[in-house]
Amino acid sequence: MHFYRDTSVLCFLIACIVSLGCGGKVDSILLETSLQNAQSAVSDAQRLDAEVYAKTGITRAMKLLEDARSAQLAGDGAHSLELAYRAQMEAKISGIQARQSVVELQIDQAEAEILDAIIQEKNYEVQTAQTRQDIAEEQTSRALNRAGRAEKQAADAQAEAEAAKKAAQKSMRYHGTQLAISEAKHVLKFANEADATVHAPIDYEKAENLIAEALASLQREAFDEAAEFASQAEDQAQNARRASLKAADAVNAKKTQAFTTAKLAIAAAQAEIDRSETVYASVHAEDLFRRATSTLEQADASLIAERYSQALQKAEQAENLARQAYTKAEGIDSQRRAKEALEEQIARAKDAIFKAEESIEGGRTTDVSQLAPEIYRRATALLADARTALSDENYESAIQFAEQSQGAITEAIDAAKQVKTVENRIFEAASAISSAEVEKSEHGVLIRLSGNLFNSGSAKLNAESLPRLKQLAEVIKNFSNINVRIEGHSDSSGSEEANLRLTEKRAIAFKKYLVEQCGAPEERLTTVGLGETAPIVTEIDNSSKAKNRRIDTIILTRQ
Amino acid sequence: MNWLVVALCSAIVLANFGCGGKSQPVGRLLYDARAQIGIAKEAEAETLANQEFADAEQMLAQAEAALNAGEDDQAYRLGMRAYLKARLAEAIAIWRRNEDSAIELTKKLESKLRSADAALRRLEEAENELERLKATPP
Repeated sequence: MHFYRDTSVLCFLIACIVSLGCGGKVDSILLETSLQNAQSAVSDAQRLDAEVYAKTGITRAMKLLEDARSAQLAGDGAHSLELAYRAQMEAKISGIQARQSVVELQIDQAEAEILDAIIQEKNYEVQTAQTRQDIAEEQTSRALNRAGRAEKQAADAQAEAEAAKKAAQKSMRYHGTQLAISEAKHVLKFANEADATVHAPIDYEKAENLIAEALASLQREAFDEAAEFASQAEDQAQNARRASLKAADAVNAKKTQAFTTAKLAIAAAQAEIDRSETVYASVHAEDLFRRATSTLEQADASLIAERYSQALQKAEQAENLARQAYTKAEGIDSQRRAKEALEEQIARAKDAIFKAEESIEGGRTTDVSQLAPEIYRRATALLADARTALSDENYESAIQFAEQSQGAITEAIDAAKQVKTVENRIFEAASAISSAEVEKSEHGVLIRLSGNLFNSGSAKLNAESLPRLKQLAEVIKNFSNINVRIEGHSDSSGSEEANLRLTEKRAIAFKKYLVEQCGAPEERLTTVGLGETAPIVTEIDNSSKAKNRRIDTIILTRQ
Repeated sequence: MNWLVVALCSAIVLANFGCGGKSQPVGRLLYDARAQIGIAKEAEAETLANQEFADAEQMLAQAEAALNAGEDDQAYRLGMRAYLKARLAEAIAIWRRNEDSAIELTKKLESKLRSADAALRRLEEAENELERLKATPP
């Protein structure tokens, strides 16, 4: 009893130690959760058929779970917790292994199905190949049948071709021979056209006979014989044709000569008719011209009709008539031309005079007659000569004078232009002279110096007037190729004679000063004293008298 | 007194056994766990079951640390968990790989079925063609 008591104590002690050895107390909630997790894992594994595919694992898990629950009941929490974890893990592994097995089964099944599919595909391919072979065999069989039929058709066609070839050869020979005969016939026809029946009758007849024999042979299908006859016939016909042509050539040569002669005669007649027409023979020798053309037409008609001698005769007649027409017409036409020429000359003369008159009239109405009076007068004189010649029926001279008159007027116009230019320049230069009056006069530019140029009643120059003379001298020298006239004028005081002498002296003194003192060219200067004959104002007082006492220097631009 | 000493020693041994039925020494367990991790790695668990694999490695490391610290019980528990995690990782990896293979095979099967179907159609066409040919007069 004591022993048992001691033993009970010992067992309790051991249980305590074990309990302590296992790590002490465990949270009951944690433990319960672990157990539930383990149970859940086991259930999951079972749902995945782990009992089939991972039997060992799931059995071990279930055993561990059972041990865990036992340990829980035994109060060994730590051990229970450890076992629960192991049970959970084993269950998870079993579940995964079950899945693995399922997948492996799927793989096996898939591989099997793939194999089946491959086998099926191969079976189909084999069957397809077999079917294709059947098709090919069927097609081959059919092709062989067709080939057999085609071979037979070809043989038939060859036989037909042979027959056709023979027929064609025969036909060719027939037609070839027929062609040779036709050629012979053609040559014979040409020979006939060349009058072989006249010029080579024997050859022609032989050719005809040979053609007949050739046709007979052709009818019998004796082609070689027929061809030989045809060839001979052609040769014979050629001979006949050549002989005929030779004979015809001689005839044609004569014909050609006659034709040429007639043709030349017709051409000559036509040329003569054309020549007569140049002098208007159809108008002036109408009858002859008409007969000539009519006869020429007849000649042409004869030529076309190959009546060459008649054509020649008619052509010669036509030429003769045309020549007569020309002679007659030429006489009449020359008269006409002479008349026309005269009329034209008269017209030209009148026209030239008219133009000259117009020009002169133009010169008269403008200042040409004043600026170039000499030339203008010459033109007027020439116009008068032209008129005289016209009235004397000397038309050529009239034209000549009129044209010269026109030329003179043209010359006068040019001269007038030059004079005008020079006068303008002189006028401008002279205007610079002190107390000088400058104006254009009948003979040129007038430079008037008036007033007391000289001492009273004397020809001695007043010293005051000398500068003006020097200016005048410069103007004169500037226009060195123009003559100058110095006119002395007086008032009416005193006798006329005395005034005349005084003005002459004064003009000379004036010139002398210009020449000797100022270098004016003496040979161009002339002097004249006009006394009291040409006053410029009415003398009513000393002033007007002073104006009339003057020296007019005229630059003679219009001479 | 001697009896008491014997009884205490026995109790200690029993206590050791009572703590989870340690049927193998801790060192051996850790060796097995390490080997199982190697197997899982060969099964490409590192990729295909990376979480479980990582847990296993971590638990093994903790177990080894516990062993070095003289905590044999803790080392045992962690070593056991590492071992189980490694097995789970291996199983998942194999399962997933097989699943991929199954998917591939399914696709291949579908392709083969299509090919077979096409072959069947070609066969039918050929048969039809043959029938038409036969129906046509020579």
